[in-house]
Amino acid sequence: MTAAPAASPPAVAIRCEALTKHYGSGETHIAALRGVDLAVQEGGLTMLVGPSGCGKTTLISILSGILSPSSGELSVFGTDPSRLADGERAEWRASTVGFVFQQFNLLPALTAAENAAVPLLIRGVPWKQAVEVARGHLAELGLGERCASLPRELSGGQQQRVAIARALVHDPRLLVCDEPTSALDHETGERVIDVLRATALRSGRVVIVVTHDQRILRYADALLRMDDGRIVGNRSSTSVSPAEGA
Amino acid sequence: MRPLDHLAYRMLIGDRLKYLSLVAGLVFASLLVVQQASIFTGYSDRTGSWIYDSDGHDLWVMDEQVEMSEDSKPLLQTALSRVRGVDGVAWAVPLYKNYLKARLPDGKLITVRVVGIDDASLAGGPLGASRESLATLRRDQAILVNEAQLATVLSVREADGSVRPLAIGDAISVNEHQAIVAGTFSATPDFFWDPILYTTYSRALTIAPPERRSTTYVLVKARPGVDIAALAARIRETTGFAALTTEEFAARTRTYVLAQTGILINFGITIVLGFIIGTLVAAQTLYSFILENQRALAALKAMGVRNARIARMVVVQVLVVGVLGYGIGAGLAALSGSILDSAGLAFRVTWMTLFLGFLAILTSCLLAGLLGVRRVMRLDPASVFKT
Repeated sequence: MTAAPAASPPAVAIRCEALTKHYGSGETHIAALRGVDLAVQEGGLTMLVGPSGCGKTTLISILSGILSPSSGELSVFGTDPSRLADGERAEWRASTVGFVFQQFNLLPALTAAENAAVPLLIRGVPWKQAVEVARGHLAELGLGERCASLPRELSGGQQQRVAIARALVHDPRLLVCDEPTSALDHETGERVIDVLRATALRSGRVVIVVTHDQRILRYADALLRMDDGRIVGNRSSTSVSPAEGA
Repeated sequence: MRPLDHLAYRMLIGDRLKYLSLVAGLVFASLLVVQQASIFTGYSDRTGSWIYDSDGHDLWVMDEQVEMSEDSKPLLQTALSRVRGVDGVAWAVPLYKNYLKARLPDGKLITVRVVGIDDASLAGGPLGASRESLATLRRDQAILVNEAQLATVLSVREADGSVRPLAIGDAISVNEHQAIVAGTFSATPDFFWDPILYTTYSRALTIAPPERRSTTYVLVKARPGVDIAALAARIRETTGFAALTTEEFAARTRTYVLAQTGILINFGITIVLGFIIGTLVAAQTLYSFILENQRALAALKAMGVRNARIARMVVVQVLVVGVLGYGIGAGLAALSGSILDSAGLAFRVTWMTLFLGFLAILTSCLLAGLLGVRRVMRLDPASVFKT
């Protein structure tokens, strides 16, 4: 495991207090989050684990500004995205958050480089320039030769790396990854985690990974366990055993 | 092109099969809409063919109850003098028109439209007749026939069973009066199918059964500088007759045929059905395309694309396939039209047809697109995290 910075302790990038989220009402009422308190520091890889339906997806959706909480306090790099107007919140997501989806969600009609360039296109970067930048990221992820390939021509691992390139291409401060290794073999999964971890350790960045994959937990700087809409366990990097982290 | 517009375009054309099926659907819809509307326009125009083919005058004067060109409500012969007395009339001539029976040389009995034009001036004769041909009407028993009908409805079966076109010099019997084919004229294809025989006014009265009222129309030429509309109003006021320009008379005939006969109404239903089917095909194809892209659009939304930009992307896609599909479809319709037209079927593409067809196709595409966008806008962006 990479050593933590020695001088000052890392700043808190994300803070939640008594965060709740409810869906429906009456008999269909569901409490997805029941008062989440959380502080995530910059420069680390945070993993979120827990059984299905425990609220992980809801929590990352709120942290990334896709959903608004029902109540509670939220600060992501000093901004509460839920208090922004719809348009501003979309812009905030476009500039601040990178997403890696479990299903990749690559656009089937676009090449790998064009897919990776999408966040730049959203921010108005001209097509050629955006694709050129994306090529560089793909090359860093070992896909320099596959820039012109369509998603259907790529393996699952390659598609996931394109999705990661897409998540990183606009240099977001928050990277949200939903089961990034679930569809990958052990070796490819480790390569993906290496990339995410390298990103996380860059100053001012936060990477949150939702996972069920026990193989990658040892890479976590912080491990959050969720159950029934609450954080039930929180281990920081200092408490992750060398054996787990090696 | 803005980056997201470019992205929308690439998403559209990226899957060739889907893209081509989308364009093909719109080509089919556009073809159907433009072709049916053009055939309708073609037939509709033909209701006024005989009116437009009559030469040399400014106004048609007729009984005010006349509803169309084939509706004979003759005037007394004194009508001519009354019209000539109206201020601003340069000249006025009588015209006779009626349906009569004619027997061809082989004994075949047919219905014909006999048109008798002014003996002296031959005004009101067909535009498509040469001066020489018209002049032959001054010969005894002379008639002019439509050259396009010589070998069809006017053809003659010989004793040996062979069929030949009716020829100049042939004698036919019209209402038991002998008439000699003295010449031919060319005519615009007509909605009304009975052949027209031109002769002189006096000869037409001789041929036709005797009636007290024998002047079907009075054709009027205005003096130079006289306002035609004002002259028509004066004629109406002075005589009580209807006075219509060629355009007005053609429009009255067209309106009557559209309103009173089932032929064009039924055709109109076909057009409306074609239009509905065409636009539904276009709309359905486009709607399916957007739904198939729903997950991709939701991912874009999660990554920070505003709803308005999603809508704009769909509009870009709609415009691309709409313009392309319509262009090809309308082009094919025009091509098929030129083939149909040369085969004698009614077909006329107007700018109005093209414009309205384009508007209809584009509107239905946009509506379908916006319906699809509405679903995408309602979509929970968090759904992209779900498997």
